Amino acid sequence: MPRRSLLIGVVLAVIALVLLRNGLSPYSLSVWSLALVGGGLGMSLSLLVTYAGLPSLAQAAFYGTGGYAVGILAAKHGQDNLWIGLLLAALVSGLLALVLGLVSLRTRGIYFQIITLSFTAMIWGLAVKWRSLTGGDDGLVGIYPPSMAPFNGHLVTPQGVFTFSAVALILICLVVRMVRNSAFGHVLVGIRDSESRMAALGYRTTAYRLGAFVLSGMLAAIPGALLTYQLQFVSPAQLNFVVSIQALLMVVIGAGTLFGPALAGVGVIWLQEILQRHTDHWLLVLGAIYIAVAMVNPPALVQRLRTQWAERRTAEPAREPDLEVVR
Amino acid sequence: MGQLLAVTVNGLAFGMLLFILASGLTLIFGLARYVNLAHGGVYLLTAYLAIETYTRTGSYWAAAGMALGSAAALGALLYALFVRGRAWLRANPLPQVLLSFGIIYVISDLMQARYQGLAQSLPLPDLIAGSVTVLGTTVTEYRIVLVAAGILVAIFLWLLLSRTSFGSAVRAGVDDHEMLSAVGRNPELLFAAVFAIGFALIGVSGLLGSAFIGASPGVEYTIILYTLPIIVVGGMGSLPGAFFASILVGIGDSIGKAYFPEFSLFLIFAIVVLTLAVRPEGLVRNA
Repeated sequence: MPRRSLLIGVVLAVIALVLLRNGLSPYSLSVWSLALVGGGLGMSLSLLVTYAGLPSLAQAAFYGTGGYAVGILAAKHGQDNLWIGLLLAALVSGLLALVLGLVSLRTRGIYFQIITLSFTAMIWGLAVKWRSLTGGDDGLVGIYPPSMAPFNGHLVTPQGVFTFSAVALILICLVVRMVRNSAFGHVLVGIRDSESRMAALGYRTTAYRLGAFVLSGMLAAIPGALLTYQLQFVSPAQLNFVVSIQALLMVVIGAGTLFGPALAGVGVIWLQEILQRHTDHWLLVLGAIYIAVAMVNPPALVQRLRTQWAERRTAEPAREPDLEVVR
Repeated sequence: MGQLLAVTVNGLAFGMLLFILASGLTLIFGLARYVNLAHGGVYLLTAYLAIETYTRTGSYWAAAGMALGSAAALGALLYALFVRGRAWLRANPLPQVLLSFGIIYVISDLMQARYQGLAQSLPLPDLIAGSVTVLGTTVTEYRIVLVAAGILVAIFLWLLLSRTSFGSAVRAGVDDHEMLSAVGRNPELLFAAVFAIGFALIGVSGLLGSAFIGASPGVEYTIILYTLPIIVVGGMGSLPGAFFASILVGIGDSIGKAYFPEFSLFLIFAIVVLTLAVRPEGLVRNA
């Protein structure tokens, strides 16, 4: 994405967010805040799936660990600073990602998906059983809105939470874009397309893949921590493996575009929150969406549209597909 | 000693139930290269249907027919409607995982609506409702039935795959789709049959499991939780692998629950990590 359209995009996003912030009721703002956090989850995984070609199902583990990190700090140690909380959440999740990545990156293809899913289940099991630390199935309560020191006030009003979640999402998007365009990102794409070629060129491919895994885990911890602060509660539901599957859905709906997973994440969570409040059959609708997405292949669809547009506008060849699931 | 024996038999029975579940998964992956993680949902569906059919008709045969028939129909339908001819879905585990969970959600929602989230279980027939005493340990007869069923399923699948022309045709179809149609076999029909048989096996586990762990909301995820380590340890697509891994996980879980209840789930996944650290493709290689 060229610099100019990125700038336009960010400006439009900020205008839209300011309009939403001032126009919506506190109740709608809280729904949107949850959705924005979901966007962060999708975006963090897209770094791994889209650019490193690693369809990990461990994302919920890092998302939930981020949530538990700030939750345990706040409820058990009275640590109430937002910035310290976010930093520690990212560090703890990053460390976990390092350990899980070392084992799971030994596997390929479907084994990688199964092993990452197993790890998520294992971390979930730990959160359920380790009652003294996590509160078990009942979750952790007593997490109060964090202080924004050295800035004034606490992260507590619906407007404040919404604004902070939005800014965090935009920053996560920009970080992913920066990584994508960096030398590191180009090596990742090279490894995704042909690991043996990159290895032959002298790159330590496992180290790069592990780096992407850790970075993506650290990014997932930020929305995870924000979710815990928003709900003032954290429970094993936040690291249930269905959350991992949901993150994968967001990335696939994002269709291999740079910021698509963020928009898809916001959309999926917003829809889910609205459905849950208005119908008993929200799970049925959600299931239908999963099935439809598996049928449609959004990345290939977007790719076809891009090719058509490119042909219509100029004789330039269309861009290469960005997502490994196209084919 | 007595307690250890009882715990082991319990674990073996649970392991055999898991094997029947995992065999459906393994068959479909081994022969059609499709990752079906919807088995948790199919278990829930067939368990509830078996219980309701028995309650209405009082016949175990009708319940069995319902569980197996509905599962087989669902499998064939899944292949015909969603999988056949879709290159992306056919070749990538990623959309297969999404499709599987979509199916689970739809089934969970419908079951919740029909059975109001009540936990139910199938009453045992008098013939096998008792218990026997072996070496001073009391073992319920139904656990022995489960172990026997697991062994029967294993023998059935081995015979089907290695001793029938259906088995060899399907195995040939995995390697070369076009050549199979060139010799006059319809690969689409064969694959639909593989899906039907694989799902019917999950139906068997739904039927047997409905009198053991029962049907309740959330059991669909519990089932997935327990079959994941079997897939990892046994290797995808390997029936012998699934058989031994199921025994390992079943007994491991039973011992874990009896002696270290805090860490039982952890113990199973410790097996997974150790296996992967030594052999990244599972204990048994090739399909």
